[in-house]
Amino acid sequence: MEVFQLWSHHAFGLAALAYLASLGLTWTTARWPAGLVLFLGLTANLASLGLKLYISWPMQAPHQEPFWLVACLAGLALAYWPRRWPALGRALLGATALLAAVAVFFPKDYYLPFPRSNTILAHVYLVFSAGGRATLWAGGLAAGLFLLGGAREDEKAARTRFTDLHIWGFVLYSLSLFTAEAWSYLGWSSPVIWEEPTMTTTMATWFFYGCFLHLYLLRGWDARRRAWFALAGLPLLFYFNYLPETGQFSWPGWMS
Amino acid sequence: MKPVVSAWNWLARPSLTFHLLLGLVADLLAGYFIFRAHLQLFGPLNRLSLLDWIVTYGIHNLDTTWWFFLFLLLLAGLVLNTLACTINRLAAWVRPGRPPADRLGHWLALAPHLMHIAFIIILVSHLVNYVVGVNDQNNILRQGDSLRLPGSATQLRLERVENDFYAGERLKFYQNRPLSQRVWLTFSQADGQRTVKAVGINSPIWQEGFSIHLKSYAPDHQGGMKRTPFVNLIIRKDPGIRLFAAGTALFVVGLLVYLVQVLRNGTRKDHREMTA
Amino acid sequence: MKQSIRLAGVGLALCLALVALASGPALAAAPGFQAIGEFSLRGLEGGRYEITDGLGRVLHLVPRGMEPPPGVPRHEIIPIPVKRVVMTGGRDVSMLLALDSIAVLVGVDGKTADWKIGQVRDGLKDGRIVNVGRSHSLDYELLAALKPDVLFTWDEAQIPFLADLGVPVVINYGTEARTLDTQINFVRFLAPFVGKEQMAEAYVARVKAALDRVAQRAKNAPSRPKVIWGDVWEKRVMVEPGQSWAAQLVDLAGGDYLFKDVRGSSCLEISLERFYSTAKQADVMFTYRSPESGMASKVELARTNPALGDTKPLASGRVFFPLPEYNQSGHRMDEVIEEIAAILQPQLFPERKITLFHALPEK
Repeated sequence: MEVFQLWSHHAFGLAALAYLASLGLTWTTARWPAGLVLFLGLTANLASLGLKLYISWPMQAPHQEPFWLVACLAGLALAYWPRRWPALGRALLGATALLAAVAVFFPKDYYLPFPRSNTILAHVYLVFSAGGRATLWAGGLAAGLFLLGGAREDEKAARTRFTDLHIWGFVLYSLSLFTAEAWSYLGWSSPVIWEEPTMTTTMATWFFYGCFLHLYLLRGWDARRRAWFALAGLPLLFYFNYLPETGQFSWPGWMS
Repeated sequence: MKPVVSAWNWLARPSLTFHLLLGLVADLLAGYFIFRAHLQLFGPLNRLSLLDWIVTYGIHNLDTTWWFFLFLLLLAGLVLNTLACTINRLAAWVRPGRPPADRLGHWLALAPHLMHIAFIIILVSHLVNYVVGVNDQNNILRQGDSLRLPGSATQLRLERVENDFYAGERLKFYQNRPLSQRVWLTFSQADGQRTVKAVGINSPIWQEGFSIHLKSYAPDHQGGMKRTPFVNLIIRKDPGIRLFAAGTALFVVGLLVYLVQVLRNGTRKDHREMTA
Repeated sequence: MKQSIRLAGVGLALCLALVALASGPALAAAPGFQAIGEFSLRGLEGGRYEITDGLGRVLHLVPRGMEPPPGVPRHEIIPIPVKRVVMTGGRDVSMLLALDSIAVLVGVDGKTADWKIGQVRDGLKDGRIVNVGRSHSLDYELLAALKPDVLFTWDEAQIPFLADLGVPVVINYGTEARTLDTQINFVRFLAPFVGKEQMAEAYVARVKAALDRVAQRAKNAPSRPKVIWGDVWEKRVMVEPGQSWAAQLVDLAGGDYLFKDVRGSSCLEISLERFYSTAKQADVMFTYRSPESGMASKVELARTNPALGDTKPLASGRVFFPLPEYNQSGHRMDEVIEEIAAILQPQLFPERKITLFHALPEK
C-alpha cells in the first residue's frame, strides 16, 4: 500500500474519532476539553488533507469533498464553541462527527487524479464548494436552534445569525459554481458539461438557497417560517450534495 | 393599458419567483435521478446544438427528457420574472425624491439588482452559445496536417507535440505520463500572416473569435503501446462567451457588494427586514 | 402549493407544445432515432441513415446508387449494404456472425492464430481476409489495396490516414464502458450497414430471452458469491466498472459484483487501496490476465503485486480468465451469460459446460 495514502486515511480516521469524542465532551461541565479535542481533530483532518494533496498535487483526485467539508464544519464548530454560541458549536460538532463517520465508512476517493484536474481552479473550486456547503449546514442548524427557542440565546441574535450564515454560504457556494464553470470551460470547452448528474443537484441547491434569500420579500414569511425553510435545506445538503460524493460501505484499511 | 400593467405586475411578483425557484428545485431533483440512470442521453448536449439535441435525443426519449424541457421553461419564466422585478425595483430606486440619508447604503442596495441582471446575462449567454455557437468536435490531425477554421480563410496546421513527462516518485500512478503538454499550431491567414500558438489540456487558445481546445492526443505516455501520433481538437465559436464572462464578473461584484451591505447593515433597515 | 402545481402543469404542457412546434419539421424527416449507448442511429428518407459513432462523429449511410448528401466529404459517406469491411477487435467481428454477414469482412487485425472464428481463420488462410496489422498501427498500404467501404476501429488516430484514402472510419469504442443494454443493442447499430435489421431483432430477442432465463434461475440461488473483475499489474490495478456489461452480467447471473459503485471506462484504473480492501472480501475474481499474457497461475499473479497476495481470491478463492474465444463471442452472448451463471452458481446450472473461461491454477 502507498504509505502516504494509508497515513492520510489513518489521520482522517483519528480526526473522526476526535470529533466524536469532542461531541461527547461537550456535555461535561468544563468547556475547554471539548474544544481542545476538537482542535486536535481538526489538526488531524488538515494533516490528512495535506497528505492527500501531497500524493496528487498538482492534480486532484475526484470525490474529495467529504473530507474538506468535514474540516470546514469542524472549523466552524471551533469558531462557535465554547464562547460565541455553544449550542450551535455542539450542533455543528454533531454534524461534523456524523459526516466524518460517513466519510470513513463510505469513501469514494478511489478514483485516481486525472489530467484535467491539473489546474489551480480545481483546488479553488473544492475549497469554495466545501466552505459554502459547510456554511449552509451551519445556517440550517442555526435555524433549527432558533426554532427550538434559541437555545438560551437572545432570539434576535439567533435570527440574525442563521440568516447571515445563509448569506455567507450562498456567496461561497456561488463562487464555487463560477470557479467550476471557468474550469469546465478551460478543460472541456464549455462552462457547462453534461457528464455528472450531480450538476442538477448543485443547481437545485443554488436555486433553493436563492429562494431562501428571497423569502423576506413575501408576505407571511416571518422568521420562524423562514427557519423551517432553512431546516428543509439540511436533507437537501445531506442527501443530494453529500451522499453522491460518498461510495459504498467498506471497512477502512486499519479496521479490515 | 391596464391589463398590460397588471400582467407586468403579476410577472414581477416575488411570489412568482418563489414558485418558479421551488419548481426548479423539484424539477432538478427529479432530473438528478433520471440523468443518473440515463447519462448517455444527456452527454450529447456537449457536442450538439440545443435544437439538434431536441429533435433527436430529446423528443425521442420524452419519458426521460421531460424534466429538461420543463427546466428550460422554468428558467425562461424565471428570467422574465427577474427582468420585470428588477425593472420595477430599479425604477423605484432612481425615482427622484429626497436625497437618502445614507448615501452609501442607497448605492449598496443595488447589489441584488446587479446579481439579478448578471443572472439574466449569464442565462442569455448560455442560450446564445447553445443556439448559434459553432461546436466543431473531433478535428483529428497528424503532424503536418492542416484544416481550415469553419467559415474562415485561416488555415491551422499541427506542427508538433511536446510533453513534460512526470519522472518523479511521488505520483506513482502518473509515472511516464505528461503533467503538461504543448501542441504547437500555426495559423496562416489569407493575407499571409502566420501566428504560432500552443494549446494544451486546460489551456485553450483563441484565434479570430474561435477557441481551440485539446480533446485528446497521442503520444500521451512513455513506453507501453506505441500509438500513432495525433491530436484531436475541439474548435468552438461561442458568441456568448464574453457575455458569460461579463455576467459572471458582474454577479461576483454584486455578491461582494451584497456582503458589504450585510456586514455594514447589521442594525440597519434592510437587514432588519431580512432578519425580522 | 396549489398554485405551484397548477403552474408546473401549465408549464409542462406549454413546454411540450413548444418542443413539438419547434421540432415538427425535423421530426417529419427523422422518423426513427435510436440512442444505443454513446452510439446513435437515425433513419432518414429513402433508406438513408445518419449515425453517430463512439467518438460522437456523424457519418452517413447511403444506399448504393443514391445521391450522397451534398457537401459531405467522401470519407463520411458509407455505401450500404457494405460489401468490404475492415474491422479491428474480435467482439465486433463476431457480431457480424450474428448478422450472418461475415462474408463482407476483408480485413482484420492480428494473425491467423489469434482468431478462433472459423470463417475468419479460413479467410485469413486463403487470402479472402487480410491481416492489416495491429489495431494501433495498421498497414495503410494494405488497407489502400483492400479498398474497404468502411473501417471499424477503436483508434481515432487512424481517421486522418483513412480520410486520405477516402475510407470512412467508425469508432466502435466510447468514453464509457458499454452497458449490458448497449452491448446487446449494438447489433442494431451494425444492422443497417449490412441490411440485416430483422436478424438484429432476432439476436436481441434471443439474448434477452437467455438473460431472463438465467436471471429467473439465479433468483433461487442460496447465496450470491462476491465477485470482482479486474487486472493486477506490478504498480497498478484496473477493474471493470459497475455499469460495464460484464459487471451487470455477474449481478444478473447470481453474483454480487463488488465494484458496482465504480463508474467509467472499460478496465478503469483505481487506487490500489480500494482494490485491496474489496478484493479481500471477494470469493471469485475474473481477470483478463491469462497464461497467454504471461500469467500462468495464482501464485504468479500474487507475485506480480505482493500486496494483493493475501486477498481472498488469490489466497483461497477462485480466479477465472476468459479464453481467447470469449473476446470473439459477441454472437454467442447467450452462452456467455449462461457460462458466467454456471461459474457463479454451479449447482443451479449443472448442465452448462464452461468453454469460454478457464480457472487459473494454483501454481
